[in-house]
Amino acid sequence: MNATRQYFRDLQVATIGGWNRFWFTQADPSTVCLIRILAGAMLFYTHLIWALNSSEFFGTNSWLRSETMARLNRSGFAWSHLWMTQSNSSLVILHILALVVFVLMTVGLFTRVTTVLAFVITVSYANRQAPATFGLDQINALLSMYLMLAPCGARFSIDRLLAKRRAAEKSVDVNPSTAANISIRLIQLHMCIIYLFAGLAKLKGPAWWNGTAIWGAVANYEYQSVDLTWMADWPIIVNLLSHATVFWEISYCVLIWNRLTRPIVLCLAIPIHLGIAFCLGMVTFGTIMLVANLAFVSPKLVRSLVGDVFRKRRRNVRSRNADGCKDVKRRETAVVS
Amino acid sequence: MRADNASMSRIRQSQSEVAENKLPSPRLRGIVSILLMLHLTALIAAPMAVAPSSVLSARCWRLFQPYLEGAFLNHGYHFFAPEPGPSHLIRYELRMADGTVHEGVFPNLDEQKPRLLYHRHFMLTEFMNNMIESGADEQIVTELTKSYADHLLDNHNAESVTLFLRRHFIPTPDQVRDGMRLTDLSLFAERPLGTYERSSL
Repeated sequence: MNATRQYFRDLQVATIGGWNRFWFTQADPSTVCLIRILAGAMLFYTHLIWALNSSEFFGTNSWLRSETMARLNRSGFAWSHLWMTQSNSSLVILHILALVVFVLMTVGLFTRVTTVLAFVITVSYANRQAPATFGLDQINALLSMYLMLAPCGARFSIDRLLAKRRAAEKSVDVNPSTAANISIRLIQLHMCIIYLFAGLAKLKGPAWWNGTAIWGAVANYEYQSVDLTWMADWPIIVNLLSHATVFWEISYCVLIWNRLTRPIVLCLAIPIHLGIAFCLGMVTFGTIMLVANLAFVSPKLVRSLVGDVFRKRRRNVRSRNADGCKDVKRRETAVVS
Repeated sequence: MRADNASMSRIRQSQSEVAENKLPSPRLRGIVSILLMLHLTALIAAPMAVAPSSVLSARCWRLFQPYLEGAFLNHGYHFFAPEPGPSHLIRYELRMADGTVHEGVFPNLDEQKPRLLYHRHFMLTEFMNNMIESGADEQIVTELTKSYADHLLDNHNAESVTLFLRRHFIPTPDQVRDGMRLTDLSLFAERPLGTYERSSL
């Protein structure tokens, strides 16, 4: 009896401790800051395409009129500010405002405000045209949702440069934060849920069991952007890719948490998503999935990689300035002589 | 027994490390923890509610529906599942005021560029097929078809339009080895969606 009680006490202590460690420790925000730049750029591109085809999707004679969407959205929970207007001039203003928000988010200016606005705008556009959305919009929405929780302008941003300038030469430390940790944890768990259900749903289809499913994807003319029908002569490759996809998706939520298997899982994500991007014509979707996978890359590695790029650029600018000064001096001496 | 003690001391040690790591107040942690659990349950409820689903999954989904739909989190994540199937397009015949007939298909890679725009149109036609296949309310399917028809009539200034849902089947590897092209006419099947006059819209 005592042993049982002890077991439950230990279980409780371990669970609460683990929960606190997982969610409430403080983390360096470098990874969320990098995701902010890449997701911001993708949001800008996605909405630029919406904006350039505004009359097709949002105007009075769009594919899906407001009345039709109202019938489809019977529950009324899928809100959108774009239902309030169908006039072209108001839509143009709304599109421009949205694009400005995404630019500010990407460069990291007023990040605390722009990330919240980015989420509101992303969800609103997606809800307005839900039947025309796909995986790209789902990942855009989840990333913008979690980024608004984190101090994702703390690094690699104009906000950071301004803070440094305000502090006038004093070093401005980037403090680790619990919000950054919660944000990154939510992206990680959401990715696990996505891959797990994507993998489990495939188990319902005989083609994933008999190993022919990948053929169904590569021989689909409407998706195809690279001709891979040569695979008809290589059924073993089709089988291997089909089985590997299912195994990878289902095991992702387990193997990604282990320090040793994580790099393998992430390395496999690259060919899988690049394959979707370049062979199935979904460059945007493949790219945003890779961006979301960055949530598993350590802030230290991000800092060293992105920091190097920033430092190199700064060094180049400095050396260019120095060269410029030397040129001016040389010209001055030439004029004097 | 010694191993158990060692593991518990490790847990306690890591807990003290956590305590040193400036944890938020227990009250705040409690509130955030409840919100996180609700959010994660909602995330799982959405794909669990995709048919075939249990009564429990359906009830969970109904509970979280306002949050899931409001935040655009209501997704099944069934990418290429249960298995990659045929594509669906919409072919249309436009009757102009002078009696001529123009034909077209969407999505169309030649007309919709860049690829993202093409994919948006592709999703519209796939959505139409999903509505029909899932046995959605006839009125909603008609409303959706009318909306597409209305757009085509306005865009082309036509008098009437007839829509067809075109299914593009995937050839087997054997058929491709025998020389069949992915666009072979035998791979297409059509069903009419209806004819809509300008005045009826």
